[in-house]
Amino acid sequence: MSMMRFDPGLLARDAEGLFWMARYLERVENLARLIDVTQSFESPGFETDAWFGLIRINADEKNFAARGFSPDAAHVKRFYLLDRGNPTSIPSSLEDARTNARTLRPLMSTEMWRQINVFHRFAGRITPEDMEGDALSRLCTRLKEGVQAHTGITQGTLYRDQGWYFYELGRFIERADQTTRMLDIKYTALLPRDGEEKRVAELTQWNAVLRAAAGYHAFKRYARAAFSAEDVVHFLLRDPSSPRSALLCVRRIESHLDDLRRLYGLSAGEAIERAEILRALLLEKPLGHILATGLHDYLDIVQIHLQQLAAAIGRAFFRDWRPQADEPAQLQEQTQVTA
Amino acid sequence: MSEIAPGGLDDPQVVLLSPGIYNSAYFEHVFLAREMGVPLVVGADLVVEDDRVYMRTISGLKPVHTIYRRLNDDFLDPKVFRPDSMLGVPGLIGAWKAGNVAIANAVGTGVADDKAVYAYMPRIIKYYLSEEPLIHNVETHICREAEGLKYTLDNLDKLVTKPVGESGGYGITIGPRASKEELELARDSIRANPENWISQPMIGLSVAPTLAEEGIGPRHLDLRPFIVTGKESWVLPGGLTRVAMKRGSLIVNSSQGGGSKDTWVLADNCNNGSAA
Repeated sequence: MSMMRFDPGLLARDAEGLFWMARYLERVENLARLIDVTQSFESPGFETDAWFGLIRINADEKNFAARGFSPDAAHVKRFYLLDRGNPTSIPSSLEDARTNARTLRPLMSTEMWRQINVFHRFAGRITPEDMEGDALSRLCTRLKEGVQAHTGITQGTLYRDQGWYFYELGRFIERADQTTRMLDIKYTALLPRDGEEKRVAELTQWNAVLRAAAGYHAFKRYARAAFSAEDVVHFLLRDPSSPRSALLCVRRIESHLDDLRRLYGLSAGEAIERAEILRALLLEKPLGHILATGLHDYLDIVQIHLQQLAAAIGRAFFRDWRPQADEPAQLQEQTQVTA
Repeated sequence: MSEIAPGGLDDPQVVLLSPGIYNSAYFEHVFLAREMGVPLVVGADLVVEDDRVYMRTISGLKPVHTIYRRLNDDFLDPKVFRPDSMLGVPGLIGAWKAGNVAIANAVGTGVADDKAVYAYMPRIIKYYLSEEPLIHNVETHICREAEGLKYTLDNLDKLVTKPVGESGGYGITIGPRASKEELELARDSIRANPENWISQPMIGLSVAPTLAEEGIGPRHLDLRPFIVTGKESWVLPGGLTRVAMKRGSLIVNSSQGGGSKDTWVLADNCNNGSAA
């Protein structure tokens, strides 16, 4: 007989809180990675192009202008690293993660809560000096490590009941989305017009993308010596073992949805279907074809599918979980709906 | 909490109802929910259907039988009390009246929080139990009684005056520390509405070393013991130590920025087999 009393169930609100806490933190890590790689794309005289590319891949153009910024390297850094009024900035994401964590305190370990607080304070004390030159890369490293410490503590201390699956679902949806954005940064990067110079510049940029995704060494072990753009895109979109590849994330999502059904009788037919469609989208077309017809547009479609998958999970568990619910509440796709 | 659940249930579902993360006592709600092993819910998590209370979980509606509420009466049910309450649960009072859910503390118990009731406690004990109180009250003067009113007005500069219906340390005038204007203001308020006031001597609250902005310094504190009454009554081997974070302040209430400290109960191992 089990020593546990009974299954206390999981409040829909708490499931949603776990999902979003994970998303916000994953967003912080990936934004730090993107900022780091953007700095390495800077070429003298063209800094603005490199940094404004970051605004474009995050689809933040309107938000950026509305906050009173203009396309300028220093402004973009401030927008993402200092501006608490920008909901997509790192301090804002950490604020949102911590607000969710507060509502989840009864469910999480003291160690998780303490680390989130320390990290939140660190991000609140970023200064303009931290964004200059070499200091910026060190700052990005600290931010990545902050999220990695969180992830590790969570892996080691969060109780593995239903709540854990929602945390993981949020994390993998966000990670898949962010990986597609990381690939997209190449789309906005400038290249010399042609010839050998262009080939070398392109290789350097792909290397930077791989490093941003922490995949450079693994890629080198498996790829051909003279690799092509197609190989890099394959590694980040379709490699079944690369921890940040979109395919690995989608497979984890499918397996978590399946576990929720198998272990807890929680079915989310629509979400499972959407995950299957997304997996097919990632695998069906030859990459050569995708690269020829436009990687950027393809990545856009993948992002839209991820948003629809997140919405389906929301409909199944957080908002309209009641079969008789008459008024389907709209689940906003990119940011959390707060009650 | 399980004892008071509607009858016939082996394993009633107990929840703690909190106003949420923006309440100054949220930390305490988390602590209590965790120690009690019950879900911490907010109003939006609960729903009433056919006079029964349910909580919204990922697998649908789950019945709730006992609510330990940390929400004031007037916010509990917008259908019955304040219609603008976003923190409450529409229909909750209906379910309670129908006997389908227990609410602790019961609706209306806030009256016992009234400081005028405190003043009458020694007389209440005597009247109902024919006993003397074991622990004495702080000397309290009731301004609705002529004698108490006269004493209060004659000694305003030595007394602490408190409005009876308030909590959280609001509306208090500490005579020995008040300016002339503040004392006159208090005098006018008491004269205008004596029933609303009591007065007590200033208690020399103890201090403890406390970590403050400028380093470690003395801060005033008080102790709240807790007594649980169900089929039997027992005193919890611990309590809540509240501390005023402002230097010299005697107001320890959390709603005015007060903090809390660990409370240690020292057990004598020779006389007491189990340590607290």
